[in-house]
Amino acid sequence: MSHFYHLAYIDPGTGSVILQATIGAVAGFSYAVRNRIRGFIAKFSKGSKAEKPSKG
Amino acid sequence: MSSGLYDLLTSQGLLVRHTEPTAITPPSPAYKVIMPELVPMVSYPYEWSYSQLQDAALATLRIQRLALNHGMSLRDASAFNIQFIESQPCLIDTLSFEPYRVDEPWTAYRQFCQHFLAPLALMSSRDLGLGRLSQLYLDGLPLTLAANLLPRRSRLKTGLFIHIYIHARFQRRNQSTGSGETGATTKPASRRVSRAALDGIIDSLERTIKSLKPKAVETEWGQYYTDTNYGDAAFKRKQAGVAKFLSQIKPERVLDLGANNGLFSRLASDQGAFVVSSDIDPLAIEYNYLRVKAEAETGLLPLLIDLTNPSPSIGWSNSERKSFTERVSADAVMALALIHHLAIGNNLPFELIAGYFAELGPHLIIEFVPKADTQVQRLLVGREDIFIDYTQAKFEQAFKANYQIIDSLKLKAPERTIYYMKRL
Repeated sequence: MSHFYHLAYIDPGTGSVILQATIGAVAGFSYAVRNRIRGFIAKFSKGSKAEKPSKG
Repeated sequence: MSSGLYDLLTSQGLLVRHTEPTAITPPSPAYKVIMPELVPMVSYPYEWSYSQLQDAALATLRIQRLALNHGMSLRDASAFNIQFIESQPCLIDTLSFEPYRVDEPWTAYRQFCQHFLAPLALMSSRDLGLGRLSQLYLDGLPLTLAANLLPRRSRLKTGLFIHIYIHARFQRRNQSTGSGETGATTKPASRRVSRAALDGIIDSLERTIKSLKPKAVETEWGQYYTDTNYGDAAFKRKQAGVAKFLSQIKPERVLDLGANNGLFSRLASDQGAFVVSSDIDPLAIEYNYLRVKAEAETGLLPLLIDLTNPSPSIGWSNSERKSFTERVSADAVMALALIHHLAIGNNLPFELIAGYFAELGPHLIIEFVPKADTQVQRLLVGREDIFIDYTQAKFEQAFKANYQIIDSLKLKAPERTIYYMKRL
């Protein structure tokens, strides 16, 4: 099923939707990479620092 | 509710709590009646300082992130859905959530950029006072307008470049036809946004907003308390006098007008009152809010209000967003070092000032600043002194039409008087 938005509460705006689809892949990829790095740093510094509770 | 999202958000103060009163039967065709907790003072984005709007934006993104983790999504991202409860930005529209549908983009992305990102970017790189633009554009700043107003160097910030400049260009190229057809059904495959991509977009918005800093400028009264006419002793006497009057009134709700950074507002909140601490200066409100945050104060709401033009009622049929006067309620009004700005700076007769103050609340703590005062003389520089009626006797006479003077305190160096008055 791919009919988006016929039930949308507000007008999402066609341009805004296409932009999300366009930038999504890159944004998602960079977010994933950043998370990996963050995880790696956390793992690396685990020994020296007390574990911080993760946010979000 | 069953997803656990309600409990999570309310425990973090991100969503207003509600009850489901059993005594009320839902009128058909309503499904359920919910009764939310009341917000102490409804405020609007155009009355917030930079950091208030920024915190409201970050709260909205945090709510969306937590919602997605619970299989839900925010279907709108209006800044008007956020209110400050105990100094924390809180979503008050419990019905803003909808089930998340796989591969769908964020419906509220456009609204988020218009309501939060665009005004924040303008306030950050142009002028803190531009937050007032959201009073003109109730559905948020048009992105083309924001792109036109932002300085060229904003393009160098990746987040602003994408979410404002490119976004505006995409909007222009894909204007809605007006038939409700968004074009989304024609090429659905190209409109898919995976969950990972959605997380990435929200993360990008969050980083962009966090990276923006308020434009630090010295506004009119930003440095006021370090630049007053008061010596230490007189200032302490003034504080003690105001605190004494407040303890006589024992107000539950106080409205401090011309509060600057909220120093005197805190005399009231320290006594347990809820204080709306208003000023015309965006920087003073910014400092005030930062202090509220730093000290985790819960009884004080700084708001940007131009008293000579308080927020009017606007929107559909002029009644969608209420005026400041309609929304505010106070047992006591404070107007310290303010009268000369209104009477001389804005040519307002004492009678009109007394009349409006009396409308705002039954008790008044007001400071009279005589014409000889250097702060008044500063206002008169370069203009003809047409204010022959600006005398203490005329001031008392005018206010006595609405008030009974209960007590007063004379200060020396500078020669000013603090009055405690009660509405007739």
